[in-house]
Amino acid sequence: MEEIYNKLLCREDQLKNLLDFLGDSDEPLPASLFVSGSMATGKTLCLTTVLQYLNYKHVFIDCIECYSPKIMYEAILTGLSDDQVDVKCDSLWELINNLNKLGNNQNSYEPIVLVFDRAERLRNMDQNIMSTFLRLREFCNLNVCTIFVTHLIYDNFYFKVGAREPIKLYFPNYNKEELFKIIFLHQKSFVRHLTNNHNIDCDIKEELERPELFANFLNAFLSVFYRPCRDLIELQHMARVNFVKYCEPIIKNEIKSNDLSKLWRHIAPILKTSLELLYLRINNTKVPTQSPGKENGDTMQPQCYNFENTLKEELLSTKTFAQSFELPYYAKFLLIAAYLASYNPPKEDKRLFMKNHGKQRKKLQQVKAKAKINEKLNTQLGPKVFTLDRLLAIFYAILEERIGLTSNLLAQIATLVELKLIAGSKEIDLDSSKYKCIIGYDFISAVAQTVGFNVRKYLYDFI
Amino acid sequence: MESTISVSKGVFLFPNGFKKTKHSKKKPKCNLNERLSKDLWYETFKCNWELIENQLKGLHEQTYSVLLNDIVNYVKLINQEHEYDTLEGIIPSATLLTGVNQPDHVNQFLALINKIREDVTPHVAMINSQDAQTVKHFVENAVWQLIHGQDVLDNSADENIDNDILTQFRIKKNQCTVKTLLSWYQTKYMKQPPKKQKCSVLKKALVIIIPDFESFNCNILQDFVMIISSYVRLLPIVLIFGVATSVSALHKSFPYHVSSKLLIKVFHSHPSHVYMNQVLENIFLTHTSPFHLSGKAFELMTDVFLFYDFSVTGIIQSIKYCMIDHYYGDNIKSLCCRRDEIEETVNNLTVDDLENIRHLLSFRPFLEVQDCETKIALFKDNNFFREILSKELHKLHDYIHTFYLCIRLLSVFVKDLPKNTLGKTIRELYTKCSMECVTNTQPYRESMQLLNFQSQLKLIETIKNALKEINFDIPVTPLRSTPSKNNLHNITLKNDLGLDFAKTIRIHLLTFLRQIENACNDTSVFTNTDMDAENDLENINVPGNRYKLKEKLLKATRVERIQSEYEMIRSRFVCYLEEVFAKGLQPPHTQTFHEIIFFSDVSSVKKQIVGSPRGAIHTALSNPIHYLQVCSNISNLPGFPSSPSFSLLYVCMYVSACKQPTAK
Repeated sequence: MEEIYNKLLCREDQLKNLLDFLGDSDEPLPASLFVSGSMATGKTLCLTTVLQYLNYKHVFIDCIECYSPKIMYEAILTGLSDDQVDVKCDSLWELINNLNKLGNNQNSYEPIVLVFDRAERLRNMDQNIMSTFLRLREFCNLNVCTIFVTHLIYDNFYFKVGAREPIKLYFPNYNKEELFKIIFLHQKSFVRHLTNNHNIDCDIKEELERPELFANFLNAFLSVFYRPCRDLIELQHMARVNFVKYCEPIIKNEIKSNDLSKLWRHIAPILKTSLELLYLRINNTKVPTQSPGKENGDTMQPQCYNFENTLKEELLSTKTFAQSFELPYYAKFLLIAAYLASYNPPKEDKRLFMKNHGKQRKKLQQVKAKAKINEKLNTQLGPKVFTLDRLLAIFYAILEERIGLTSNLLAQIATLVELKLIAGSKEIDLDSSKYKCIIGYDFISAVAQTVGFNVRKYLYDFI
Repeated sequence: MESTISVSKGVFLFPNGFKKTKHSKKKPKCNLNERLSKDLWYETFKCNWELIENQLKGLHEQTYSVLLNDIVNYVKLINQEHEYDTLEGIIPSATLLTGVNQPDHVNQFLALINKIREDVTPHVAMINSQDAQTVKHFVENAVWQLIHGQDVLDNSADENIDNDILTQFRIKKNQCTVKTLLSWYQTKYMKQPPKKQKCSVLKKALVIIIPDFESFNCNILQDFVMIISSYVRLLPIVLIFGVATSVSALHKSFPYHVSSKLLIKVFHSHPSHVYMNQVLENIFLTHTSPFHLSGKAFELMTDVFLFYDFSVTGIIQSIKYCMIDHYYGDNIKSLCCRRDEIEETVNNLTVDDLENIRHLLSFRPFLEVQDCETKIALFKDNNFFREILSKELHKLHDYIHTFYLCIRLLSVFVKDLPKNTLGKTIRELYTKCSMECVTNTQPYRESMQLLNFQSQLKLIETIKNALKEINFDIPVTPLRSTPSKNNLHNITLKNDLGLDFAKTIRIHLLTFLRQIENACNDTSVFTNTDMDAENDLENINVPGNRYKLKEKLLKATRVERIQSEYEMIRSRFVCYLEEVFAKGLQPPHTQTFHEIIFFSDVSSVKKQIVGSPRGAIHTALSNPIHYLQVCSNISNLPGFPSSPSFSLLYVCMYVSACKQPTAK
């Protein structure tokens, strides 16, 4: 008992509840439990530890995996039967028949627990599946309990009729102190991770292993990261990455391990930049064994180095994102044309793209109307749908040279759709297909810059 | 005609007793092959294309090897480190930024799979977006490939695999779930007694490749990643994503809780235009290539590449098409072969073929130069003509050798010049040089002028590079005469082209190089005076003295500059270069028999390579006969309708009417 509490810090209340519900093997189990709480709050971990401790027969079902209910039924049956046999089970009644058969075979009233992880997926399945599992006890003569684990609350589950309310159990988020305690539990593994990857002198190693150092780091780390992220797993990952950086000056003997303010000044900017990479999980460790030197190898290496540097920028700004990959020349113009078609009203096309469009008389009314529209600029309103004909017309208007409408050109539109720069149907049908440009102004201006084209000149908003 | 029920059905099916059997299916193919293989041109084409294909394969492997090695090393590393990764549910994954040229990726990924199979693990699956319309399909495909890809390899590699495992896991596709994969993996690797195999071999990574990330449905991929992540503790799975645009695409389509399950390492592949340049420069734009494109055709190919699709596979296929078009049905094109085969092919030509060659346009200027007797001999005496022909073809090959050498030299000299009026890459230069006589053009003259201003160090460097280029072309032989002995005034170009030409250029360049290197002293003196002048200028450069400065500058322009030794040599060198290029860079269409080796029929190829749907419809509507090629004689028939739909119907009727009697 004590072991569990020591292993799972800060979840005492929940563990006690669980044990109260499930604990006594001579009593019947509750029909169903509903465990909710945000991601990485220890729901699954608590359940597994408790079930293992109680030594109940239990089956874990990850609902995301069960793209068809058949897989779920079979998983339940194979999990419950002791010997490895291939079970076939296509429908709910077959499942219940099988469960009953199982119940007849066993003599004692043995407790059985079915855990449905990521139960929110059950909502997308057949309506009656979840209702059935909620009252599974009533259908078969087993001491069975179904537990649903999900990050949604019970109100998000909607049942038409006759669902039996489960007992609800809520796992709250960890607060800062709890996070600190939990991450601190893994201090050894953090240090091992560090020492495995670097070769370090003995006395420095001892210093690194001092818990105070790690505690200090963790304090600094959580002060930056606690606000944007409560996900324990992500925090652990970021802590691991940053702890290495924290210790680097100590390893290099630049900063003493007890000089806290200096260490803080060293780590603060690093933490801030790595805050931007939260959840992105880019691995920057270099592959140590470079391929044996070929002629290409030499030329490639400086390039590689460049990539490493630009990668972060690329993630952060759209401009470098646009420049990071190269499009064919006409594809760029097609993209620009698509953008213009999406963000200009069609009736202004004549004025924008034709050379002799006649004089535009500015009536007072128009000016007023425009002033009104100006408050919500087209570019801020989001893209409008356009037809292929309009796209091609604008494309030919902004392209200076005359080229034929070739199949290669049309294929480019499909490619742009494929690359998710334009949304629309992949098949090109000259009459009916409609598209939408789904990239932003920053992106298009970066693309336009590479072909020397001024987008602003052709945008109705900026005239 | 009784069996036709209605015109409105559109299809007239006449059962003619044709049975689909394997035997009959193969026969016509064989016939075609046999019929083709008898022809001379086909032999040559096949042999040449195989040559090019092999070269391509080599180059392909060479370019991808670095990148692939990196990825494979990464996968290996993960495989080893997997045991002591403490964080749960994190899938190690590699992201390969491939660039937007999607047709090329297939080869790249196939090479990657082969490499991984060889070096790391036999369990590799590649899932295309078409195979993964739902999560179910996705998982089933992945698991099936992981389980069965192994067997295919094992059967070929070694025979002594446990047969019971094999038979046990011959499972149907709809039984493939991750659970089955897990149990399969455990029976395969865990249950085996560990003493049999070493520990490192015991656990082999499972690699799943997703080559076209962008075209996947996001939700499906997310689910898949989540499923895998719950198993990653038990199964060493590695994901490899092929992303065409950029890493952000990955993050855009994955929400946080999914992307935090991945550990992403990014790899960049070569930009495709670099690869294209390599392909063109190393394979097609060399004198060793048996087949050459004229400037116009070449420009068409590169334009399609640069402006439309960025696909190297595409450009290779277009060139192949040009080659087919060049060779097809024309025996005289069999002369377009390797140099050492010319004599043999010339002897194999029939009298008709020789007659065809006499009709070539480029033969006329050659004829006009000859005296009367040879003219008559050329027409009457086939053997004499054969002799002349092979001689001329050898000349042509010599010319090609020199032409490419000069282009390479020119590119070396022009590459670093400001403004780049001629273009940077060899392909650009080739287009320019083969379309017109480049030495007469303005950009060429400008760049030669700029060359005349180059600094000593730079010039020495470029000459060294040029020498490298020549040495690459011809094997280095020990020089018999030390070049320093050659007097500069003796440097004149002999009339011959080809290998000798290259050799003389090499000797001359070496001479110039030495002279320029030695000329350094004099110039430094000269620059000193230059410095003085500058100092003077600085003194003058006080406000108020603008008038004086102007005067001084004017004076400076009037003073005849005394040429230093370096400058003299430099101008001589540039003159020499001009002479070389004027000789070497004659455009191909000035040569005799250029039609045989250079492909120039752009217009017919253009129609096939760059299709234009609206143009095609227009032609079909205005001139339906154009596409109904069968019936050139029909159009002359009375009462042939001009409206396309009617004419189509007419042709159908006509053809079926023609066929009826033959069928019976």
